[in-house]
Amino acid sequence: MSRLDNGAYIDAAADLVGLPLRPEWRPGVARFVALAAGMAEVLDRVDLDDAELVQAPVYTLPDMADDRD
Amino acid sequence: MTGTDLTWATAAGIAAEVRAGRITAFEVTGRILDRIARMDPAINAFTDITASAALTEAEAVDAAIAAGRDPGPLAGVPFAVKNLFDVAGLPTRAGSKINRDRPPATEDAVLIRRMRAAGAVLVGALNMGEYAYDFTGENAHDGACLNPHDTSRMSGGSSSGCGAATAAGLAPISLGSDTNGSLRVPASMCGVFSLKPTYGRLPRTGTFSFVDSLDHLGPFARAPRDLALAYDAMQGHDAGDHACARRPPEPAVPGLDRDTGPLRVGLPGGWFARFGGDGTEAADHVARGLRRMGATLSRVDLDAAEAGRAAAYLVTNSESAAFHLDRLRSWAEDFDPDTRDRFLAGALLPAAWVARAQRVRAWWLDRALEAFDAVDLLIVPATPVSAPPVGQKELTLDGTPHPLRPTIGLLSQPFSCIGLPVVTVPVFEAGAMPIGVQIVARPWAEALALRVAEALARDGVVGARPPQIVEPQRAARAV
Repeated sequence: MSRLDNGAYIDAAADLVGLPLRPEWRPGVARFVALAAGMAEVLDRVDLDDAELVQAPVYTLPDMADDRD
Repeated sequence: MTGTDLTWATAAGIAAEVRAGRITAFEVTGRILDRIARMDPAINAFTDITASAALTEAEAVDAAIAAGRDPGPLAGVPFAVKNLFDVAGLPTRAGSKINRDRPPATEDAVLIRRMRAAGAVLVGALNMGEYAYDFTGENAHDGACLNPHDTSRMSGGSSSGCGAATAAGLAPISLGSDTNGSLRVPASMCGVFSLKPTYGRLPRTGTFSFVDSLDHLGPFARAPRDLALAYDAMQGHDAGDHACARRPPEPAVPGLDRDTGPLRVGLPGGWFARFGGDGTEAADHVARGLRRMGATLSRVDLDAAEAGRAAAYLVTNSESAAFHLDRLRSWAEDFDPDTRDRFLAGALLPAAWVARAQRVRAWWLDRALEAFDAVDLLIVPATPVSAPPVGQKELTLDGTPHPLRPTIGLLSQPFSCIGLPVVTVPVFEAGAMPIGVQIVARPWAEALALRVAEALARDGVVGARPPQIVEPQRAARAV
């Protein structure tokens, strides 16, 4: 993943979400971000129809004990 | 059964003896606690042994029998739980260092309460990979859980203590969780049975989450009937778990011995064959056994599973990191080094990847259900290899090295991704470590998968075997 080699994305994203990344953790984090990028590429190859919008989690309100008309 | 070895007795067998009054639950519990004390140091499966509470629970079972009350179908059966289940009086550590500073749980998880209501006796909590992000059984805080069949090898994870304790004769039933394969990978490596029910079947109330969208709970056992007994005892809606389906219990035990009928069995080729590794021969062995039972075998195209696995990976990585974000911000140095980098990476992923993963998850479910138009069950290896040596970091599959931790569950991930029920059955070849095979069914068809597993076990095609672990004290004395 050449676009990740310089770590610029990792540094920016970690700063954005407020995650402290020690220098010794960065190579491992970079490997796992690259692995995730590979998974995202697999998903990109799926030809999804625009009508396929089923998403999870589904937000559902609970039944209420005092339901009235 | 008094005076005989209970070590390899089934849960069904123990319950029958206790219910008939031929042995007390107190004696069963005392003997299993003694065995745990002697044998567990060899495999490190238990993190907590609740001896005093267990003996009190056993006395209650015996008192019920003495009073003429029905003690339940699991009367006196010892069981243990992965330490992400709430156990009253214990902090729910979920394999982590950070969580053990939490206050002790004030009540047991719902599934523990249901097992106890059926007469089972909780004997302790079990080792696991940190926050369930693991397929190996290694844990920097509690030490690696070792494989009872070869203690130089992994137990598999993340329900490592479950697989190891049940295989070693320390708990005829154990309860674990499965987000990407954590009920199936340890079952495969330790040579026992497990049931991952349909997503939403069993309530998760009172357990520590990993990935809410994908988390399942289920039992391990050394016999399919024991899985069915535990499963039936635990079914039913609970409002404490928002994902728990409002379905009435559908007991599996009553139909367990019924003929399996003219089964149509699908064997995925393509992507599964490419990465099936040593598991392919085990799956073929199970398929041949089914054909002898009259099943019709056919090849099915399930290559969409590759995308399903990728979707599960991204949902897991992102959702779990979001769940732990405060802990990652404040206590990242207290995480297990083998999970920390992956959690940190998960917090950095673009949202668009995760949103697409949820869409692909639904697309993969549609493809899998299309396959079930032509078959009743799928037979798939649970893992591509038997248990690797502890500490191994790479796995070569299809001629290419892969990082072991995220890869060893690649054959199990596609099915938890879409919540299909799976019974994992153990296959032993002479002189080799065990390896598991997944029996995958349609949504809500756990009873069929269990019935087929029972038939395979009855025919001797699959089955657990006692491991050759050495009692540590005796080993020390021998030296």
